[in-house]
Order: sequence, then structure tokens, then C-alpha cells
Amino acid sequence: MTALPVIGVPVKGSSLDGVGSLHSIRGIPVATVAINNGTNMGLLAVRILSTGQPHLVSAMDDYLQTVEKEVLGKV
Amino acid sequence: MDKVVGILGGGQLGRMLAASAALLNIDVVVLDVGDSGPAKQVVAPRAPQLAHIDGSFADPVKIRELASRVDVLTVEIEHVDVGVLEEVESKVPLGVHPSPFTIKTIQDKFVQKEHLRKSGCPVSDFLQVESTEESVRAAAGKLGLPLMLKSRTLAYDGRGNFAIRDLAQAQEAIAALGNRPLYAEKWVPFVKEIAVMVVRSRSGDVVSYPVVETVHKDNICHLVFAPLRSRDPSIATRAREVAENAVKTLQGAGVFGVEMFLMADGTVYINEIAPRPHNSGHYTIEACETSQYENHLRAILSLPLGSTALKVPSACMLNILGASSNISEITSFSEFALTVPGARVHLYGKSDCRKGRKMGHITVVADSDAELSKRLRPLLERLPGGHDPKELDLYAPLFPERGFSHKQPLVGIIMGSDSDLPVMLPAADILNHFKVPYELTIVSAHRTPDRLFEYARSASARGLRAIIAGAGGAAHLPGMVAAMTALPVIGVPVKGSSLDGVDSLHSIVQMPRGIPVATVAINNGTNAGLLAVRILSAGQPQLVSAMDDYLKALEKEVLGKVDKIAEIGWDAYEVAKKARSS
Repeated sequence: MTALPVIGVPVKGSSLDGVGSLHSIRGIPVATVAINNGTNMGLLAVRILSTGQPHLVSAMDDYLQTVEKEVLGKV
Repeated sequence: MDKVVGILGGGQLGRMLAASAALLNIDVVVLDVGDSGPAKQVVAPRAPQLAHIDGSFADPVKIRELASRVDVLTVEIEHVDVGVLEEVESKVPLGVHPSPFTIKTIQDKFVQKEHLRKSGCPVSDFLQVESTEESVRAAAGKLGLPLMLKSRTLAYDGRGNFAIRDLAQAQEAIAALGNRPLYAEKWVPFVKEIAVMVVRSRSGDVVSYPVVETVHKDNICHLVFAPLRSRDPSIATRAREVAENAVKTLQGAGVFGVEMFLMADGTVYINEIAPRPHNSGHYTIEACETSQYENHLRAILSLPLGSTALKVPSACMLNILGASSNISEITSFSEFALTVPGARVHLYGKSDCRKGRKMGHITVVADSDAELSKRLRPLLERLPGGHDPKELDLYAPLFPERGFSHKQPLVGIIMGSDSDLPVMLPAADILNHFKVPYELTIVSAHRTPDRLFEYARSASARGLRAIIAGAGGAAHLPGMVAAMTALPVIGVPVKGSSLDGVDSLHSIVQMPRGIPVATVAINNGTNAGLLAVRILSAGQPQLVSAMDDYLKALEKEVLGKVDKIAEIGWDAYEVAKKARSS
């Protein structure tokens, strides 16, 4: 019912580990992320907005570098 | 702002500077020969003491007269009498900007190069030479051939350069350069010419504009494209740093044009610096949040510097040069330009048209490089004096024939294997339907890992805005691409020979926290294409209404089937007949 990009997050129910929710999203395109992964939903929204707001591309680059640094810190 | 700016020189740069000053209630007094040059035409003095001065910008008496009537002195050309500027500097309330030291350093290109080399800025090798064949021969012995012979002073718009490919040309070169003091530069086999405008405040802080690509024809600026597109995302940052550092070594406030060479290995060399607004910065009037002219005024008057950010995704500037003495060619071309969306015409008010003279320029803006090309192409085709047909496809490529990639894609469709092509074709069909420029190619995460790395890392700098990646089985392509780019990545799970594609779906969708892949249904290339269009609509609002139309067409199609079932009954319906017969 909208022409805007829609992001779907399959929420894990009491059965099937959320796989049911994952499979049910079909038809008109829904950008689906991993089961119960609200973080990636937010991050995907930022990536989508970056097509109109180029400064978000560099902000996302910074975020990715921080994530990398964090993991290397744990190493 | 209650300030009076005196400008030495009244050409097109002074004209655009004066136009910008008018918007801020800044008065401008112009020193140049005649009463009606390009700059003087656009400012009517609002008091007698603000009258323009008729005389040469190299005439000491006239410079002193100008200095006595203004709050700050600036230049629109560097070939001025620096001695007089040094003399009046302390008498002008806000001084001379940029400083006479800077103008002196820059106006002799050999001194400029020595200054840059001493300051640690990257410049190619160069040598002073005498105007003799022996001296040129000696320089060629040290720097090699071809050799760039340049006039040290009074050189602009390519006048004062001679490329020596064979030493037999030495005498011809010396004569062509008018027996002026010379120097020689080692040949720089650049892949692109690039430029950055830098603004320097009175306190020495610098801010820079985006890196642009400049294209010269017969040594004169022909086209400027903003922003620079490249495969190496670090070039833009590096080139801005080089330009900012170079301008930091100079003195005084104002805007500076830093022209550079980009080498195949990504190295950047400074070619030369202009201590004033520059042809490669004209695009800033339409394409940036503050134009180079306004920022020049803000800098020399100690006003807050304005944002240098681009406010449009894609822009270019096309110079209008005289092709002959016939000015009507310029007029009719400009009238045509008025019919091109996003194009803005700047004419300089020059009464005499001559071959090679800068008569005006056109800035074109668009929401993508591909759209910009569509707008630029008819302008190039009609440019007075003709055009090289090859440059059309080079600088303004059209949408390709079906089945080939656009040279300026917004979406990259990639797949792990050619066997994924049938699944990805519907994505390409959707992008064709919405007239979105795209490319399609094979990138295998497992078999071409280096290609995957290069593709993902360069995507954003090349101008891509979204990537559709299709893969089957372990299906690592979409996730790995998403890990190496900040762009939105759409994953298409491709159904393999076993596990029904559920393996690919889970592999693509179950990304770890931090790196999302927008996953669509198994084998659903159509939805991947549609999702890419929806994603692009965040930056191109016309795609929202195009998508609305698409949805309405889908609705109509289904409602048509509703009516048909009601009309003929479901037993006679095609799908039912098929089901019964099987």
C-alpha cells in the first residue's frame, strides 16, 4: 500500500524458531533481515536513506570501521 | 555588510564576484580598462566615491586610487603589480587578500613550484631553463622527453605551455613562448586532471570543496565534472588534503584553485595554484551550498565561511568559447541551453567574440550522472565550433542497448555464477522499466575473491547507490559485499539443485548484527529490482510516483482477473482448465 521501501523483521514465535515468519514475507518486495535482528533493520534503513543523503554513506563507513576495530580489540 | 571591496581586474571572475557581493549588500569597486567590462556592467555604484576606475590593474597610480577608496583589496587575476600592493597593504583597512607575498609567489610559476617543493607539497620534477636550444637540450637530458616547456610569467588558459616531443622542436617552442623567462617540467603521464577549490580564512583556517574532474581541450578548460568518480575511494580524501596543505603554506585570505594531476597508481601531483576564484569552481554557484565567489568575499571580509558541500548529486560545467568573431553563434547556443532541464546559462557580457575567448559557461545539475549525461549531450553536440564525436560517449554516454551495462550505473546487479542469470534477468527488466541506469556482471565470492573486494570497495566512489547480489547454496556474495560497502545491498537467494533454495535464503538473510542484507524471496529477481527502485526513491522522489503507478497497474491486472472469473465462471478460466487437464 506504499511505494516506499519496507523493511521486515521476522519475529521469533513460540514454534519453528521464527522460520515461519521469515518465509511468510513474499510478493511485493520486503527487505527482510535476520530473525529478531532489529539492529540490522535500523542499519538497513540508514543505508537506504544514504541514497538520498550522501553524508550517511561516510557515516556508515565510520560505523563499519568502528565495528571492525571493536572485533580486532577482542582479538 | 557596509564594506567596500576593491577588485583588480574586471573580467568574468570579477563579474561573478560582484554579482555575489550584491546579494550581501557588499559594495564593489572595479579597476580595469574601459567603462563597461564584464564586471563593471553588473554593478551600478550607489555613491560617487564607489565609481569604478578606468585603468590598467597593473598601473600603480590607479591601484593607489583604488586602495584609497576601499576596505579591502582583492584580485581576479594574478598578473598585477605586486610592488604597489605591498606599498598600499598597510593603508587599506582590511588589507590586501590574498597577500602580496602569495600573489608574487604564484604569478611566477617557477617560484610557485619552488615554494611548493620546499613546503613538501607533491610536484613533479622541474628545472629553470634559458631561452636557448642548449639549455632546453640540457633540461631534456635531465628530465627526459616529452618535456613540458612553460613560460614562468603571464601564462594562463594554456598560453605559455609547449610540449616538446622531439628536440628539433626546441627553437619553435622558445619562439612560441615569446622569449619570456622559461622553466621545464618533467612530463606527467596523468590519467585524469582534477581540481579542488580551497578557501583560506584570514586566520589561516582552510576548508575545501569536493574534488572535481577537469577536461581541457587545446589547453583551455572545456568541462568540469563534480564530484570526481574513481575506482579508488581514497583519492578524493587524499586530493583534498594535498590541496588544503598547499594553500596552508600561502598567506592571506580568499579562495584558491588547486589544479592537480591524478596518476594511474593514485598519486596526486599539484600542477598549479590560482590565488583567486577559478574556472574549475564555477560549478559551485549552482551545485554547492556556498559558491566560490561568496566564500571568497566571506573569507576576505572575516565573515563566517559557508558550507562547501554539494547540494546536488551530480553537476558539470561547460565553457562556451568563441568559435569565430560571430557572437550570434554564442547567442543561439545559449538560447538552446535554456531548453535543457537543469542547465543554467552564464554569459559574460563581452562585446567582442573571438576564437578561443571565454564568452560564458553553462552549469548543468542532475540527480544522477546518467541523467546529467542526457542533459549534457545535446549541449556538446551543438557547441559553437563543433565537437569531437568521440567525446560524446566519453563524457555524456547514453543508455546502452538492451543487454549491456550503463557506463554511469546507479545499481550494480552481480551474481555468483552465470547460471544465476535467469534469476537475475527480471531484476534487470524492472530497472529497464523504471529507466534506472545499471550494470550487470559476475562476481564470485569464492572463485574471484579479489574482484569481489575491489567491486565492493569501489562501488560508492564509482557512483553506485545500491547493489543487487544473487547467489545460491552457501551464498556468501551478498553478505561479503555488504561487509565491504556502506551502500544498501539486496540479496537474492538462488534456488540450487538441492534444499529448494532455503539454504541460500537462510545463508543470505541470517547476517550478524551490524551488517544488514535486504533479502527478498527465493529466486525473486523481480522483487529485487523493485526493492532497488524503492531504495533509490529515497534520493529521487520521482521514483515514488513511478512506483505508485506500477502498483496501480498491478492492482488493475488482478481486478481484471476478478471481473473475468465473475464473467466466465471459474470452470472456464484458463488456470482451471489447465489444472483439470493435467
